[in-house]
Amino acid sequence: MSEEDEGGGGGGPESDIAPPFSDQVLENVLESVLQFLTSRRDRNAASLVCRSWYRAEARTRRDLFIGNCYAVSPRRAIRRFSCVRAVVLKGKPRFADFSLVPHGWGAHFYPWVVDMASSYPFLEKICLKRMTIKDDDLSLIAQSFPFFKDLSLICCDGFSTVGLAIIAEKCRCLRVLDLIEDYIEDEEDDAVDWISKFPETTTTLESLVFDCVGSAFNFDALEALVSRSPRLRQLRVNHHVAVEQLRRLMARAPQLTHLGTGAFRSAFPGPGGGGGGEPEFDLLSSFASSKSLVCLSGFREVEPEYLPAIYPVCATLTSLNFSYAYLTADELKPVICHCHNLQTFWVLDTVGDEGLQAVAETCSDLRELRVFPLDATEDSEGSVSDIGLQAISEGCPKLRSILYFCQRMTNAAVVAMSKNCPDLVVFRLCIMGRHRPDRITGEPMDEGFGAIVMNCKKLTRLSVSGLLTDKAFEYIGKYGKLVRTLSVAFAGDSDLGLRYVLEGCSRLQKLEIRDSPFGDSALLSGLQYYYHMRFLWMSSCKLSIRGCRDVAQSLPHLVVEVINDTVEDGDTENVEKLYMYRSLEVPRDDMPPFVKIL
Amino acid sequence: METSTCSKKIVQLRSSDGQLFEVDEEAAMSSEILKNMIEMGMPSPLPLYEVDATTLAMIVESWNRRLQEKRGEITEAELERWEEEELLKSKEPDGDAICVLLAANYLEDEHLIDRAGEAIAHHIKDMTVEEVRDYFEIENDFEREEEEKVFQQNAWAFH
Repeated sequence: MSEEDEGGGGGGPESDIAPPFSDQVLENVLESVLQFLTSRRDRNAASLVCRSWYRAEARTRRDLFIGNCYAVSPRRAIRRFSCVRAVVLKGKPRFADFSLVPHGWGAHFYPWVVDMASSYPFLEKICLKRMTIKDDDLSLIAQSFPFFKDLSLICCDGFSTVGLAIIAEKCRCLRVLDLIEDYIEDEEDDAVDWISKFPETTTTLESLVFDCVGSAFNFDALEALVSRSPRLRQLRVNHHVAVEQLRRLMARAPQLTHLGTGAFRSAFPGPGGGGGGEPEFDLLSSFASSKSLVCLSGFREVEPEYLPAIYPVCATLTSLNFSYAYLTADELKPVICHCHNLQTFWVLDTVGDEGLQAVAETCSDLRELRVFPLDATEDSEGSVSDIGLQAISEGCPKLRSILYFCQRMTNAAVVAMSKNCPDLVVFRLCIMGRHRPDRITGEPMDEGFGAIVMNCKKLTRLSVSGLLTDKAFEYIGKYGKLVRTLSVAFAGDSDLGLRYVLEGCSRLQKLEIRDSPFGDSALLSGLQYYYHMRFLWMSSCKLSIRGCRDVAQSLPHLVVEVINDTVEDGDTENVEKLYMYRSLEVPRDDMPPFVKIL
Repeated sequence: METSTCSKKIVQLRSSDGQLFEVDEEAAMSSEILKNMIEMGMPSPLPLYEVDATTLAMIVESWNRRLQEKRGEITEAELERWEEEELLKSKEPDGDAICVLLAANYLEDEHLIDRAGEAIAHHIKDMTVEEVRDYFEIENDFEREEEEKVFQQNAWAFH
């Protein structure tokens, strides 16, 4: 603003010019900046800049993420964020997946949906993980949110095909219906044919995933639905669909990018199929016509003679899920050798070390590997070991995430992985036998896990197992500075182990421990850290009521739940299951009789 | 003024600090404010009380480029690259995105508001709260207790 102004211009002495970010001007433009901030980290930071930013951010937050449904009440969340379009809610702790959380524990969607129904008329998306959602809740969704588009339910329970039918029928803008590893409450005979309830018109469906819905349905209705869903990109069907029907679906939806086959066998038992033709060649032509498939899953009840049908798409696949397919190495090899572009691969350990070696030879771009156990018990044969892990580490240097179940492991293989795969963000090794040492040296597995935390500088998630002393935990505490999630099973020597972790892992958010010898003194050593964590789970450790009560009394905003399997167990000194989490609210009042809140 | 077969109407604008600019009328229509002034027949030069010459020069150039893109003289990709690298200088810490955003807001130029908003958002992504305050020269007007409460709510509930 120069001083040689002619009159009439708006420039003038600087004191007359409003500072660049006077409240008025700023609030007007702030929303045009905030609309492009989507991550919750950034939005949380923006909300702390100053009061007007807090207000503008609260008005414009569209995606609401709630990591623990009991940490905040629906009312408080809604009061702050008035214009939410998408909600992600997480409920039970992860060990619920291993049946450690008794049925009926909590995480009910009901109080959330009731409040959201009246406050978020423009809600479009709901994603729930490990929550209990009833058919009535589904009905409330369908009637309260006229613009509702996306429903994702992951590891949820409480609902049945009755609720699904209501969603199918009433949600006219439905784009995504993803049901992933849910427990559906139907009795086989009571199941409703919900697939038939989608409206007869062209739909806006883009994704339909229902492989976990066990009940049968009208296949013709599904075929017709797929035909009138031109935007459908992802379809994962259940085991009631066999290859003959799969072909029909693929013909109706040539634009599919993600396909979950049902049962990968003929609908007609016996050689050659009931139709007398060669269905495996027909299936081959279905895959050969696909130009867009990048992700394949399903393969339940797989009959290996059908596998060659997928060869035409192997080279373009970036994701392949064989975790339900009982395949040997010899059955896997001819498929995997075509999959040069694979980035994600899930498989059963039936393929053995030899199968994994074949993966390592071809899939040099692999980012994520999960090897699941066919038989998840301590004494099972188990056919993958350190040999497979070593091979993968040598062939797949870009690996970011691994989940590996095995019976035998060596430190050397784990160390090799820590050096060959420096980009690892997730390392979950589950040596199923309890307290198993290094298979060759007989040493504890301390050095292997130590190398992982030392060398993998981006590591945020770690699961440990095998024979581990306090040394392993010392390493984790010393080097695992970015670790947010730690899972410990059957490991450790003394309370010192837990102390190392609590004192060292400054970013730790989620800690789940089972069957490890940590007691009250270790628990109490962490008092200054528990408000910094989302939750702590400890089961079958050495905790007592007294220790847990001390924690509860020291930290008033920590909800300390002692969970028993039955009400009768509730009188002992010994605490079998402890689940504690920080919360902005008073402790919940919806707990079942077997949960005691201290 | 003579009109040629492709009539090019020119408008005159005056920045807040008195400098005059000549702009293609069609280009100037990118601004709702100017569009209204032109349609109402306001006399030249049209005064822009809150946009200084430096900023106005950049904005005018961006309008000209958009016009070029509209006419097919440059591609959309070329326009976007210019906007990002020259106009908003998104990659530089002292880039002009904030000035452009304020001016675009005053001028009611939706396209530029979005572009500048996005560039700023991209720049402040991953910044700490203090860094954002510094960048915008904003003072923290929270009471200490208030701020702690928000911080706690964010960390415990919404993260």
